[in-house]
Amino acid sequence: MDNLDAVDTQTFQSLMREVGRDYMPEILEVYCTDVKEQLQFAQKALLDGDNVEFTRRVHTIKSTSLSFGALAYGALARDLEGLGREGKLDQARLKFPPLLQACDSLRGRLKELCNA
Amino acid sequence: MRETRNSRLLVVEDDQVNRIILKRYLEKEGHQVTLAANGKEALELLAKQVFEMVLLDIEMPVMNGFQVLEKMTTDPVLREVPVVVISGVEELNSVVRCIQMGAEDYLTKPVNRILLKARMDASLEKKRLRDKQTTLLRKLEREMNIARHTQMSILPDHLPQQGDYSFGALIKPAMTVGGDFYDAIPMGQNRWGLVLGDVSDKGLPAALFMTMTYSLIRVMATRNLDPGQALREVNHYLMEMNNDNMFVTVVCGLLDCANHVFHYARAGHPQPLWISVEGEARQLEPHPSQALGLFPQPIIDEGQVAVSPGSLMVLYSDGLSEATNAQGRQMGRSGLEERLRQTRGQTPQQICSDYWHQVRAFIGDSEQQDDFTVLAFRREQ
Repeated sequence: MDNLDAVDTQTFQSLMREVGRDYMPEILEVYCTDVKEQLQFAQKALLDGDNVEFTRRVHTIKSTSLSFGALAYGALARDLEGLGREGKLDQARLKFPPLLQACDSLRGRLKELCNA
Repeated sequence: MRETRNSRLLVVEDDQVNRIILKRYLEKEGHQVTLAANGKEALELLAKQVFEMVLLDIEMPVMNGFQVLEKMTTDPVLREVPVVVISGVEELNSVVRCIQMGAEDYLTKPVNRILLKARMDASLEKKRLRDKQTTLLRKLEREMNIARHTQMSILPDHLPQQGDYSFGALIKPAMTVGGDFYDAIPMGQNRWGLVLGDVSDKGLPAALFMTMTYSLIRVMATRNLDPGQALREVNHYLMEMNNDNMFVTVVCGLLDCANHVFHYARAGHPQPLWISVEGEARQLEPHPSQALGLFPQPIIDEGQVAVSPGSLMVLYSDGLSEATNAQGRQMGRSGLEERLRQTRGQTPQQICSDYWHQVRAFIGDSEQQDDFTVLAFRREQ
């Protein structure tokens, strides 16, 4: 939980360089909004016991988070994706809350890096 | 490798963030990018617009990457569009499946821009070369068809109409253009020059050499030379113009329909089939002979035979006698004589067609290896 908002600055800087510094805030905003939305859908899927929907949502979180250098956050999403694929939603329910809770702090950390 | 820019690309990715990042990367490389959020949208766009490449995510809602690939590979137009698959590192089994389904390459997420550019450039360059190859092949095909029509147009429009005689001929090149030819040249009243030739090799070089030989024989026919002398003169010119060691076998003859005599000359060519009205196979005097185009003074087999009433002669190329089946067995001359005994009641044209049907039945599904040409005549009474 402690490290879930950690960002690999090299990956983040590389992405910012490649897409362009002026363009980065816009992409970051899309990411943050999208992750929140995906988390809500994932949470609902967990409640509904819909492992296919859950897997799809955490798959997306994993994929985009890694692009921004949110490696720990992405790794947790990957673990949850694996559990979803195996139908182990009971275990996923236990591991999911930190992902939800770290969202805002990760957002703050990314914006901080973007404005640096 | 050539750097590719300004290509029309389709990015198919369900994740909005990755979609935007990819679009940004690709636009910075100078490409025109269209986005699709799932496979269904992608196929709709592919049906309406032309794209030079598709970047395709595998896991997507509505329609996934496998389904898109499946549709694309069964479509004659879309299967020419290269697809680069984008996947997570843990999806390598899916990548393998996509490549087996026809994807050109793959990238893992998060996509590295340098790697993306390298793979895009490589795939677009391959597509450019494939497109160029296809264009050249189509052009060549068009030109070969024109060449075929030109070549066929120099063959006789019609066969002799000669009171006591009936004629037939058939030619079937193994390729679009071929090296076989035949001719029936009017040589004055009741006299016809009959020619059948077979140039070494097949295809365009053989067709050009055939046209040259054909023209030379036509010229010699105007000089009123006897068949052997005509072939020696043709050989003389072929030797002067032949730098590629090509050669041609020819059998020709002067058919005197008034005196019922066939004065023939043979240069390395199979002896004609000859059968009496009773069905008895006959042989021309067996003498050696050599093809034209190889030696300054080739051995020409010459002779003269009387054409008895009802007898039938068939000039043919080795595309008939050496037609080869899947087991490597050849038709052979003896089988041709036997067949001629059975079909001798038919018209010469029917006999020519029958031989072609025999060849097709004999070789079955095997490819026709050599040009097939038959020229037949019969003294009716």
